[in-house]
Amino acid sequence: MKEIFTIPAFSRALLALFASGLAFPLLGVYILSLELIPVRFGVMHLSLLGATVGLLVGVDPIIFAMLFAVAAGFIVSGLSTRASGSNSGGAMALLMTASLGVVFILFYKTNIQAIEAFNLFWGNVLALERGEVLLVAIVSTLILIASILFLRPISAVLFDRETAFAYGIPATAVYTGILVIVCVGIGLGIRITGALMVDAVTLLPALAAQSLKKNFRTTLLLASLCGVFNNLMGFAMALVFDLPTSPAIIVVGTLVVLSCKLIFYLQKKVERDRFAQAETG
Amino acid sequence: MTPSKTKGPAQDNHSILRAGNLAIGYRRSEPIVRGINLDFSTELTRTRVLGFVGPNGAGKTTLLKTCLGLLSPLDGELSLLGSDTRNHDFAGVRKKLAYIPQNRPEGSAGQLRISVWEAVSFGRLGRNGVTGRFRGVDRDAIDAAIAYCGLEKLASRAVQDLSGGQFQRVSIARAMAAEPSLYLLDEPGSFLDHEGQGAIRELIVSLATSGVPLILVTHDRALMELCGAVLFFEKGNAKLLDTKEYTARAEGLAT
Repeated sequence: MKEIFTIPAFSRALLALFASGLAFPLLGVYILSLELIPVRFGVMHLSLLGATVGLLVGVDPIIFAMLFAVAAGFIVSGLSTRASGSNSGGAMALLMTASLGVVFILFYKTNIQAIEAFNLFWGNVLALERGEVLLVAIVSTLILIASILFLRPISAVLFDRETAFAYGIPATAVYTGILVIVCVGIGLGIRITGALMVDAVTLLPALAAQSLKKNFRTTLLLASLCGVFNNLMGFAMALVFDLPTSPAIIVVGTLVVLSCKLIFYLQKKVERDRFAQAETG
Repeated sequence: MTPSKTKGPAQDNHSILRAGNLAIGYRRSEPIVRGINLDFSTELTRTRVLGFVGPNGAGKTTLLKTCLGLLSPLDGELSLLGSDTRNHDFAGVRKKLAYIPQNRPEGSAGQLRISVWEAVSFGRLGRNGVTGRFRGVDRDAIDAAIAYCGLEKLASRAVQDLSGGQFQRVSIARAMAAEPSLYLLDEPGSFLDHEGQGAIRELIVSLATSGVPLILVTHDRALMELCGAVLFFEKGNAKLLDTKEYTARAEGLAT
């Protein structure tokens, strides 16, 4: 079994899954807190546009896909109301549909093979190249450092953006920063798990952590732990039972979410029973 | 701790709030209020409290948010603590303000499990750089504000688990922890029961008597008595009145 990890594809996959497992669930917590769930669809569409443009100009489509993902973060932040609590769902819906329209016009008018652009969405962690793994490691490190360094302003903005702004916190910059790293993380997550299963590395661990209803810092820590567990256990299950990796991670992640909900329910039941016993004396 | 008697622009007798032919409202909409002209300087009134009063929807909260920079003036000029709200350096003035909103956060953001201590600490973040690192003096101010508002036993509890009255006390503690040069309150206690309103009223009285100027949106007659002047909003206009003149007018309309 140990020999598997001497195979470069497997060791690269392991590194990418570990790094993304640590960091990408933090993005899941931000996505849930800011109601950015539509954002991930928008990032997929914009990444597709970026990949198409990359193919058009003869540059690695992943690079342009990432650049467009970053741009998506800035655009959504700009289109959202500056300092109010309005979310960015409407802005992202506009970008989604507009980018898809442009993509299909480019397919029609140029010699780009659509399948080359859509290849971006068929993620396969075992097919990650060295440069992509390095990118995942770097982005994951940046996400972790930013989340630790700016934890207080981030939590203030997530809690009440308008009031954070009123108190002189650079709420717009923090909000934009969150959006940008969320978009970049989703863009990279697409490459690891595929577009349709990017929630495996972002939302599922965040949902598990939030189910335990701990404070914000603990939730972030738990999300990271769940993310690493989901990814590595899912990968192990895929190897042992000959399963596709991303769906295996999703199944593990789903079971973890359900387990956390059960743990919370049982904790509350024990507390209620203890309280009732104390009351009856 | 008593609310900070910070020496700020108010005590140097600078203008607190100055408006020149100001129109307020939301972008790409008709102004809610036009032609606001006032110069609220604490040397001109018997107290350092300015009330925004008038019927619902008249523009009181809109002006408060415009003062904070959450909205831009549609026309005219507006300055707070001597700084134009549209200037880039107004961001520095915001660090000297303390805002108590009317409502608690809703939706997913409202479910973010932040402790009372953390929520109060947000009042100190603006002055501590982009990373929000706290020093001993910051923690002392936060602890003192929590103690003054009677929140010590709730300090580690999540704000989502608090009642409306308890949450408003958290908002007031956050404002006090900021040690501001100006308080801005938007109908504190408006959604509370009679007892809750009474408790909040006491805290606001202590803020008002601290010497730090206060701008207060309110329908509460008891809080209006704290005001040295009121800006009365009605039918698209806002007029600065002496508090006694306003209450006499309001009583006259009532009879």
